[in-house]
Amino acid sequence: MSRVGVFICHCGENIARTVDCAAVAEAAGQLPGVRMATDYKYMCSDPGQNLIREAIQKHRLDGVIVAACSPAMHEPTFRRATAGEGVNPFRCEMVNIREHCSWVHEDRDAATRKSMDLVRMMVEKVKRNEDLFPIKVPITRRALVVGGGIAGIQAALDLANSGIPVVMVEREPSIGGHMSQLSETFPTLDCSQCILTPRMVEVAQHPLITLHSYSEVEEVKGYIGNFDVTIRKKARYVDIAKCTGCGICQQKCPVKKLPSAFDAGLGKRAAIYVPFPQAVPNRPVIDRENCIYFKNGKCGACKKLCGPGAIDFGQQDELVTEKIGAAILATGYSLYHIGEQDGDLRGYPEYGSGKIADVIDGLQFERLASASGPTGGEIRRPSDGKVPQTVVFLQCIGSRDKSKGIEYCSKICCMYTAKHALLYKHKVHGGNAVVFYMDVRATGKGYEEFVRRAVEEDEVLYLRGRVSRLYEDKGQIVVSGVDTLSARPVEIRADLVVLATAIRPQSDARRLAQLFGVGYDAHGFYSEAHPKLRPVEAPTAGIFLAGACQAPKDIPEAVAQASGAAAKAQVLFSREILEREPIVAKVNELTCAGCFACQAVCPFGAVEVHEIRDRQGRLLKTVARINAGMCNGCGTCQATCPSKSVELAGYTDEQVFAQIVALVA
Amino acid sequence: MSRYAYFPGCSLHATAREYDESIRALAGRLEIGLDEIEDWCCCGATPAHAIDPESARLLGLWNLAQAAKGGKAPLLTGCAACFSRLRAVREEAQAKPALAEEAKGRLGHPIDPDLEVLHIAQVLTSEPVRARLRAAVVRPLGGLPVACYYGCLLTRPRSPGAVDDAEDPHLLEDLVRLVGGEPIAWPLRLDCCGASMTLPRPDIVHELSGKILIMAHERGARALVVACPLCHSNLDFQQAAIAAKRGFDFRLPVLYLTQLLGLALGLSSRQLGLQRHFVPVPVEELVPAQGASRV
Repeated sequence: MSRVGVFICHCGENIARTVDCAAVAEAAGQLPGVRMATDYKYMCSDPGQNLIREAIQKHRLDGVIVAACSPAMHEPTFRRATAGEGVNPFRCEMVNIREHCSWVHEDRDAATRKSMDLVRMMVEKVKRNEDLFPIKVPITRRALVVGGGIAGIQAALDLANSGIPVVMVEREPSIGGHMSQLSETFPTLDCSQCILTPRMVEVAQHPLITLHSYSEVEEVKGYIGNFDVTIRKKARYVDIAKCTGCGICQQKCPVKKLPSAFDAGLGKRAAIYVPFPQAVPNRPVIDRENCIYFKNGKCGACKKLCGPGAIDFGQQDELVTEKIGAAILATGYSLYHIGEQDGDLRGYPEYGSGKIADVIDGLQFERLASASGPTGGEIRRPSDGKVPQTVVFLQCIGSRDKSKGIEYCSKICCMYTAKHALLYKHKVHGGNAVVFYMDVRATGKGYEEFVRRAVEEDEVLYLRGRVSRLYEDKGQIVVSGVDTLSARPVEIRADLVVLATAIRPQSDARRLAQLFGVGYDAHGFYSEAHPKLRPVEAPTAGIFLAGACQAPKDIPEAVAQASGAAAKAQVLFSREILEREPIVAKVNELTCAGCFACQAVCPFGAVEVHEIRDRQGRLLKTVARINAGMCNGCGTCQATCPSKSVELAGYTDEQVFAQIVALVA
Repeated sequence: MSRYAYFPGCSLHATAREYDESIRALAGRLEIGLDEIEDWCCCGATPAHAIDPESARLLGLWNLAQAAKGGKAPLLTGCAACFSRLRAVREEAQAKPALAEEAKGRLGHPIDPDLEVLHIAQVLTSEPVRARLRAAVVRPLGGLPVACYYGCLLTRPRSPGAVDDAEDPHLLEDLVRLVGGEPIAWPLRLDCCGASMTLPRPDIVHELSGKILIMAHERGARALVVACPLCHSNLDFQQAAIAAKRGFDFRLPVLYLTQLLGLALGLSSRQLGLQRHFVPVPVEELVPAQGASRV
């Protein structure tokens, strides 16, 4: 006979207001197998926990039920208390009568009856609970960082500086990300490259960081503590061990007029190129699509002129596999383009769909304002190189507009638009800067002051309203909008228009998320495990998130989150052995027919094929076997198995049916 | 021949008679059967829907109910405002089935919430009418530079029943190209002409319509093509006043879509009602006679 103790928590007024806790305790006390039942104001408090501890001793309990809040909140608390008295912690269970009952119901009688039902069901489960023991898995003390922007760099350096080896994968030829493209950073106006490039160099020189640039993650296998990640190192056609970074190849390459992605299409590069002078690694890559040698086998100028003989036209992509224990995803963002019409994205034909040369986006303006940019830091418009005398900045392009397909706020645009307007006014004295905005959201430290500085000291004209149309007329761009504060239509003839286009995840962010088993929202931003309490962890164990891949973020936030993710990974690596909840599936190999229906439905790839052989090595039977390290305990296999040969520990068919019977009988 | 329940609307029986005439003339050539809806009334446009949405809805329901008497034949109109209103009421009825019941109770006739509401431009671009139109061209426009002007209502509001993309339509341009015209690229084709402000605030109309006329002229258009009687009234009837006020001396002929297509089909000025315009339409200058080519 079981000896179960039931404890009903009032949660102050949270539960007691709607549920008659004393009545629930009394009813529970009558149930067969229940040794004692009581109620208390705060079960999670010290006296509450002591109540459990004393009851275990006094009544020699072999099962504990706490009817209180969500197990996500306090299950570890009560299991610890139970284990402290020598009872297997998995014999302690919680019944959620707060979120699932008192908070969502108003009728006190009905809520009380429902609580009684829930408790009765759990009693039947707990009576059938068995001792379970955590699964111990070894940890590979090595981290993967995907993405070499500022978030990835910060996470990698934090980890490496704490003694944890790091593998960094960056898809572009150089690390640095979008931050390396920026001119000056708000709200202090320090030069972006000046603060970033030393950190890039630190990554390259750190003895504990292995950098795979121009590489992408191709496959991920394994589970927390034990991942095998296959990385495709794309062919650069340059042997970066031999190359000295002298740059003669890109000087002599005859194909020179290709748009530079680093300069957001405003500058030019050669077919063999280093994206920017401070690139890390400072080694070129050949753009195969545009290289004459790859087109018709003729040129080869770079190969002829390369002193160390580093050019290798025969180079192939290479696959390498790295063993890691945790991964930090820091893949960053991409900018929405107004010509984009795809799914819910409608584009902006009313703004010329990106075909007006002097309507540019924020990153393009950054390149114009950057001392290392295509104009050497002078603000010159793309069409004719003239210095614009009137620049109009439009905020919320794509963002906060459901009819355009993106309803969220891109968060960083208010600040960078203020910065752009201010930089323009500093560089073009006497120029006019006008900003059309919906709201100015300047909530960071020193941010509001920065915006006010742009308005008050630098006389940037802020107009609250939207622009309905942009069109070219006589060498200028006509901006037709409305100033909603004076309720008047406004028409401005601008020389340059800068659009603060929406921040979106990278176009292939979903593919990477699927590789790592990470969830994402409708827009493709990665989902955190809990929006408030676990903001840097993915719901998948061992995967952490940093930077704008999770949501639009500015530099300080991306860096803070990256350090947070690194700290979370350090917590994992601080242990030799990882303990996992033993709520995993197990196959009864005697009855398993080897149909592998379980393998087909397992979302985690945890089902393996196992051959049973006799001593002579003859195959007797092929059965499914669960890799406990990979099983997440979802129970899909159990529900699918036609011969009822898989069961989830703690959630056996017997237990689940007993609960159902307790409810309906 | 496919048949349509034709809803001319008030303008096409009055200030825009030539639009009605040209629609009927074109329909005759392209095997479009028009059965004018019996006892139609105001569509519920500007005055009603600005002041009393209930009246606007009832007016729309009345017309839909009258149209439904003709069976499943789609409702066809040439006026952008009628089109917009009737489509709005039809969509409301689709979303709220109770409205159809209400119509039956209050107006005595049921409405068909699935009745198609079409603008003449949609019918002209749909097959097989489009193929017939192409085949019927006897006097191609010879690359005549034309500014297609949609105004505000033809493509709006944005909804599944809209004729084209609200911000980037190409319906009128397609039709103009089909008969040999060359639509110009210009930015104001979806801007407002001033609409019914023409009575209380003519200054606004002069400003807005003036901008449209000047831009179309500057970008090289020899004619404006419209698909709305109110736009036509502001751009054609008011053009002399606008020119005086804005200080320009050119005159830009403003043709209904059906008039321009009619010219290409060899219909006469009189059949198309071109003589009713305030800004003269120099047909022989605009459209080369058969055989002649434009320099």
